[in-house]
Amino acid sequence: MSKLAGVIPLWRKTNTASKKKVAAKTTEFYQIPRTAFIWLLASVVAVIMPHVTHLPIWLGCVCGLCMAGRVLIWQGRMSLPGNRIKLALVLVMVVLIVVQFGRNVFSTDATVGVLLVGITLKLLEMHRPRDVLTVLYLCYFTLVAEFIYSQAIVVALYSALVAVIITSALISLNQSEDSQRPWRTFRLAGIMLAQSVPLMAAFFLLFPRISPLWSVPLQSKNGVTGLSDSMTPGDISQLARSADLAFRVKFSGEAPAYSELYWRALTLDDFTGRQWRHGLILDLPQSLRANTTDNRPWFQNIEYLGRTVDYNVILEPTYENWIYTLEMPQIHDDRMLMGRDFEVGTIRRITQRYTYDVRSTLDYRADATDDGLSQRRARRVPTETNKRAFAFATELRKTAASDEDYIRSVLDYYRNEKFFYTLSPPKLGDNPVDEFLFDTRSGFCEHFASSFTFLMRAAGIPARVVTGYMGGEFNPYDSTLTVRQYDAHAWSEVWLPGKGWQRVDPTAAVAPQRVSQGSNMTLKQEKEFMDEAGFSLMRFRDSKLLNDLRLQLEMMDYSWNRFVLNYNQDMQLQLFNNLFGTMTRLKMLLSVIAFMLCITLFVVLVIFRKSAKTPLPPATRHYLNFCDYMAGLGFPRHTGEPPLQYLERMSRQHPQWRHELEGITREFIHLAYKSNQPDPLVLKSFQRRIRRARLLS
Amino acid sequence: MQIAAAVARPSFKDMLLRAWRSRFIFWVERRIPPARNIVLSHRNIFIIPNKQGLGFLLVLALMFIGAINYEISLAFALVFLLIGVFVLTIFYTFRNLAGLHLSAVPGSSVFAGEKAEIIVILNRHGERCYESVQVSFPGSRKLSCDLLEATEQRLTLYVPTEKRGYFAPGRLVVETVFPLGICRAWSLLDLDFRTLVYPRPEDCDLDWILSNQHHTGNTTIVRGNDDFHGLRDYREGDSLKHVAWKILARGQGMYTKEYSSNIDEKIWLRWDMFPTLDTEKRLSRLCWCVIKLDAAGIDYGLELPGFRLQPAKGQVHYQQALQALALFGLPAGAGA
Repeated sequence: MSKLAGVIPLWRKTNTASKKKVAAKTTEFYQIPRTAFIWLLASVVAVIMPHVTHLPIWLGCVCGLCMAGRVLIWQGRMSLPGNRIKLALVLVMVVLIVVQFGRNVFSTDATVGVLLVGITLKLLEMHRPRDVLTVLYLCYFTLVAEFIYSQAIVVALYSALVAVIITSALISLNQSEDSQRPWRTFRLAGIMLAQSVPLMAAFFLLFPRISPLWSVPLQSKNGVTGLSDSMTPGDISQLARSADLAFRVKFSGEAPAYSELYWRALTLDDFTGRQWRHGLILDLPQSLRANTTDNRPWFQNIEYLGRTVDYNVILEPTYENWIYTLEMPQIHDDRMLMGRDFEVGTIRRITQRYTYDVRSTLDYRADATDDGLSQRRARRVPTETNKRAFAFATELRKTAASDEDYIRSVLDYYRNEKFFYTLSPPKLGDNPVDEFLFDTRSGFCEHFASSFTFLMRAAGIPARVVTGYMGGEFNPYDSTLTVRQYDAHAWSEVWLPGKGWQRVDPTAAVAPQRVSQGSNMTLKQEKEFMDEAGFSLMRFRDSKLLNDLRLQLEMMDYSWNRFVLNYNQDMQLQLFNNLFGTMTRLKMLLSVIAFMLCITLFVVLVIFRKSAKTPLPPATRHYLNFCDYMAGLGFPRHTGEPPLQYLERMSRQHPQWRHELEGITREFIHLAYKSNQPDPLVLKSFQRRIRRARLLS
Repeated sequence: MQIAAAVARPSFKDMLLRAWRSRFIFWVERRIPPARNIVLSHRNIFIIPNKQGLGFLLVLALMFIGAINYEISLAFALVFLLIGVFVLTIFYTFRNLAGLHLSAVPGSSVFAGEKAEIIVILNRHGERCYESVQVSFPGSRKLSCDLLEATEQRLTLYVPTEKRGYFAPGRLVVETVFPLGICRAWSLLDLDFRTLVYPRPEDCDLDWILSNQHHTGNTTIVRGNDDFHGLRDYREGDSLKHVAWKILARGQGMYTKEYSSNIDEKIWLRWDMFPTLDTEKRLSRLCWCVIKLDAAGIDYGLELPGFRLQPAKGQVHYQQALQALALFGLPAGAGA
């Protein structure tokens, strides 16, 4: 009675009530669940963090302000910005980004900046669940942007963690506020990602890799240390301040002697009196492309005389067009070409980590006969400056019996006079060669190479400066050679009739240790050495323990680079070839499809298996086992026959079993229906009883 | 009335959609037959990526293009990892329904036009937990529940009714998008369940009815001074007029005020009291009279063609009368 007391006037009200509800729905304001919001914010922060170092500072501040604003809105201290404010914010951002990046507005840096600003601004505009999703999806996307900058193991691990956080945020969005348990959510996300790893690995290995669809704007060279295509005194000593990785080498056989590790890159044969430049002003790949026909005559000028060495190089991105090889390289790689001076150039700029295999012949003779052009180029010398050095060379040449003799006396001059090999030489003026040879007498490899080459040319001997790296560090754990920026070096090549181009390293005359043990051992006392390396394990090379740790980490890094980051079309094809014999694209596609089918099948099977089985209580399981056993004897229990009825039937047929059967059946009924939570010990004895019963026939 | 205009000329797309839907419902009817207690399994769970899932795939596609163009191995790895997550989500979402036991019981009876109260019971047997499972009937609100520590959840759904008689709500929609919200698993269940809906009460002149009674005896009808009887918890569907606003304003919760009238009389309610009206109208008026008289505590009898209820009062009598009105003229077992 009381139930219906309030009911009577209701049917008149229904109409207006429903109208009110509709009105309420349209103005309803979506409120992101509290815990989900924290996850969301954590995702955004985690995604932006690694970009902070290479973003303009103001951009980082904008991101921070947006997030702070969002927190204030969430706390109710601020309201969501209106359309006008939002429009103004977007416009300001666009202007700022255009101003900041100028012509590079389509570069990667700018794009990433826009992406990050977009995410944080979107935080201020969350009216619907869709907006929250957009932010989270953008977070996933930004993880890719992070890999453009670095793909180190640490970055990969960090990104995995961030992926778990973003996934947690997604999960949390779908949880009710009452059942939010952050740790459980995080664990679920972690489990889901971990379970996807096998699938990821399979996809990674098998999914056909496609060549880039269109060329993308790459980040500028800013901040990348490395050799350039010209050399002024001070350039290379600048590199010695950095311990950045240049490249890693793995020799397939025995490595050559340390003093033979001259990683040659460029020949500089155009001297202005101060600066050495790459002689062909044209861009390197263009000059190479002109000679792509098979009859490149200078290949016939190389005589390969003896020892060869095979090795694989993983070059860090240089944003330049050349690679580093030992002399004299033989390249069978259509991504690169060899130039007139036996430099090896690449067709595309190296903006990604770059792997190549080379065979070098250590004993060779190149350009033994004078072909006129390159020798003439290598004799040019500006006469307006460095007059004292020129006169010195002419004088010295007169006293020397031959060109070889002259070279020896010049090297002797370096050795006998008080020349110093130092990272911080005094500044040189307008006649750098003169000042170095006769006044300051202290310099780095470029000073020696430069002055030596000048002295050669002044005496009419064709000579050129060569830049590259010398030496490296052997890692005993995986026997790779690590070459760092501080291994940058410059030396000379002189041309002698009948002998061709010969390498001469004047630095070796002054600091033989540099060539036999590397710059690391030679320069570690100098305070400028590696002063830009920051706080890294490289600083603790004197501690055996830490140094071992560092070398092991580097070994890991090498394998990571070689087998994970460099996994490409070629490696994929090679893998397929190893697995299935010769592989065509079609075969590969088929195997991928087969693989996907397997996965689908697996998922379907898992679903069906899981849902079909509901575990039986143990007592029932034991009893059913017993029934199976009886069926095996030829007395099956009928489908749906109750245990007691079965007992009755059996007892009638086989009175001698009655006692045993009755005991089992009664105990089963007691365990299955009369006790809530059977004692495990009782269950055990029940099981034993059934086993014993088997002996009864 | 704008809606009517829109409905009048359905577009080709609408027709296709409707045809498809009816085919689907037909298929579902056969695939998931009605049952009082249904366990969700691969036999009756459907699963498909939803809009958010398509968005997710779109983002993956964009990431994949980025990976190809920048030739970033790790980006490939990330995309593949997320593809793995997507595939797994299908399974996880499915698992968030599979094994769930569902049944329904009727709540209190209602009058046509009100919302029928239906209690859906979700049970889990075993270790597996369920989160954010949503249930709804066509026309009702969606309610969400978790089965984490608890093994049983009861959710009360309110479904609008239109006609008297036995009311069977449409198929119960059980759905979930947990954990990632990119796949939707759902099932359409007929829980073989019906609830009684009384006729819609319609106001009529009770005085006139009373004065036309064929009886002698004194009638003392106390009208207009309904006494305040007490408070009870507010239920969805209660009149807002009877809400105890003062108590609500004090922040002590929402209550409904109850009144009782004292009328002391024996009255016959007869089918031919409203000769000019059609069947439904008559039933509505009679229903209103029954409610009023019951509230007033007066004995009343009910006479319908082929049905006769002796004058009495009380809860059982009241329900018998209303049931007779609700089922009058309907074929036996209709709607069941």
